[in-house]
Amino acid sequence: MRSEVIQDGTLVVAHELKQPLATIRQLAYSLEWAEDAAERQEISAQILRTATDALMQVNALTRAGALNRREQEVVLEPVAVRGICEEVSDDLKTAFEAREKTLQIAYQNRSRLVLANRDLLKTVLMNFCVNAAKYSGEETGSVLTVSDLRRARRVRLSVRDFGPALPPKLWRELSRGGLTRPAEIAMRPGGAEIASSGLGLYISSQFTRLMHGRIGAVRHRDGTSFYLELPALTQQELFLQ
Amino acid sequence: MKQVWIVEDNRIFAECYARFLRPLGVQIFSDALSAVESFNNEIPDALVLDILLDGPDGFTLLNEMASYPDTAAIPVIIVTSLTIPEAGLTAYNVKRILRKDFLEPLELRRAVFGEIFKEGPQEFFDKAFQGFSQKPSLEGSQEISHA
Repeated sequence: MRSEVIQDGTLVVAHELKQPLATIRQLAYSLEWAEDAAERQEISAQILRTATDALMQVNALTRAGALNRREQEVVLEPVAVRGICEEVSDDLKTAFEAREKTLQIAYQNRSRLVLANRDLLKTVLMNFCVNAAKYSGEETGSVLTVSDLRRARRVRLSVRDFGPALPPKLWRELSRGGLTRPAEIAMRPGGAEIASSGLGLYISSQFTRLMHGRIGAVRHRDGTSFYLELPALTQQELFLQ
Repeated sequence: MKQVWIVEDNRIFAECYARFLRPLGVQIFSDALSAVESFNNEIPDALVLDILLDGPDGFTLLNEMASYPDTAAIPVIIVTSLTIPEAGLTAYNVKRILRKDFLEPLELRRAVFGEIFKEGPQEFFDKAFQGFSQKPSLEGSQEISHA
């Protein structure tokens, strides 16, 4: 049974990496067929974007593997949500602009703190936002929303896209508390520059679990909001420690 | 100008195919449904089709096309990462099945131009590169037999 799981996971990873490689190969050919310098420049930028996205995915996967094998420790600390959201927005500015998309951040509370690992939280948010840029239709904007779930003492960070509907099977998996293995992920239908097996969501799910948070999705008629919820912290609590 | 339709939900791949098929007139459709809608206005000279699409898949489109005499006559070149048997697809006027992951531009070009111009390799190759100042060499390209 275990070997089947590993094998299935390997297939998902292979699929995830095959896509960008095949895309880069076609784009490399395209360079020879470009009509002018402007088109060549656009193709070069597409190659760079595709390679960067794939590398980010591989890096996150390597990290997830190391954390699951307990080779690295997950240090949880108070993280200012606003700072991390702005970092993500700055890092992805070029990627969004290149795709003629926008990313806005909406805060319910700008000074909110959460208990999280800074790197893992940033990776999850980057993953949600990059997916939103890839899957959303042309000239659409994505919104990263930070909201309080006061009763649950949690903060929800949600990224809304305007892409194809999330398959119900994947939505159910996420609603049950996250994805336990990549092979269980259904293919999200096309519309994207790079078709995805959902490996990014699996990684995000693993990272969120390690931060004692939960991941989920809200299906809209015209897209999906992916979110993660993390334990909220107050300055008063930290002051008393 | 001869018209080729590309039904492919990966925008980058579709744009690459369009580049490889210059100077033919190319229209890109990201799903089968919009291609079916457009049959009411125009019938292309050839169709390049992916199988895994958002919504109805390529096989559904082939079935739909086969049910009308005008669309049934459109030569179809399938470009897919799936391994699908050729047997039975000739009834749907599928002329070639090309491997998406390892697709060579000249392979696609030869398949499409070969179907559109129905001439010997040299003639359609010349037509394929009409207007190009520098013709890519055929050297090293793989000769593909018609299905």
